Amino acid sequence: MAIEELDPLIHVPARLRIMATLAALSEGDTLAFTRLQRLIDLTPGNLISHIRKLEDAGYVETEKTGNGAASRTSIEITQQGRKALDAYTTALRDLIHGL
Amino acid sequence: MSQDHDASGMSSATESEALSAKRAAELLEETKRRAQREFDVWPPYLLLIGAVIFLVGYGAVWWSVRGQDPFTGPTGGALAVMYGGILAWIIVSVQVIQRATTGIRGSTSRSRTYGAGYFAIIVGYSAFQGALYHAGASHAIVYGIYPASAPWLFAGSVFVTIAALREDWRPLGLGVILIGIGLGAAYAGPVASWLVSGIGVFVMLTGFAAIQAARRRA
Repeated sequence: MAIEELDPLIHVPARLRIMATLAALSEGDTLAFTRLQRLIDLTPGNLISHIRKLEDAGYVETEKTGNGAASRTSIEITQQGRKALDAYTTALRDLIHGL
Repeated sequence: MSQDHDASGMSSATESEALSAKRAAELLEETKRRAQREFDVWPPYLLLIGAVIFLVGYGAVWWSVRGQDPFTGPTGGALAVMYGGILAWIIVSVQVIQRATTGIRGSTSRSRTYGAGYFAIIVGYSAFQGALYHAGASHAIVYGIYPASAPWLFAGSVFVTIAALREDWRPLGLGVILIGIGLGAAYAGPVASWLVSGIGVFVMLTGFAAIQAARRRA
């Protein structure tokens, strides 16, 4: 097992933290973009960029509700995302134990 | 979601190269633990504080009624210690739950809406105590067995119902334990019921705190 074999979508500090944070929620729960931003401590633009990549891979889903100042974007990890994070975690353990 | 560019200015490949397996594992663990702490509506410290408050509060009431013959009921000071402590714990718990569930929608955020249900239970419980008094029930019932045991029977029934609705065994276990405490207190008599309740809730909350702490470490 080589480090290059780890899921490249998750093996990036910001996206790893996004995935780990969302996976800590109960299944079916969504998290507001603003709270995720506070927890991850990224700029909005940076966070959006990473979320977009995860969303394109089917690892997270976003939903925007409301308009203008009352709008709210919420993010949820998908079943596929949870499985990908589990697989990444297992691969990471194997890699570390193999060192 | 209008920005497509990577504001970090780093490509994924560059970022991957910079992240070693060891650092990735550390980052994963740190983030997981922090998120669990942030989202935890019942942190172990809050449960342990509650356990001590219930033990001291119910213990104070038991202390005030021990040896009474005939049973007249707890002193105002003991009731103030018990209800004051419980009220303070409820206020702190509500704040912790609100903070933990901010920005979350779904099953976790329902913890907030349960508050209205608990409030209705407290009102119903108190009104029923008044009805018992007006019906001429003895002090042993009105100021002993009923207030020491009924809250746990009510709360236990709620948790069992929640468990059935959510098909979740955890509130079922909690509900069964609460009903057990309530029944144990009811059969213990007007004096010992306070002690049974205090110790029972102390053990339950301490056990719950231990389970929560173990889940965080897992």
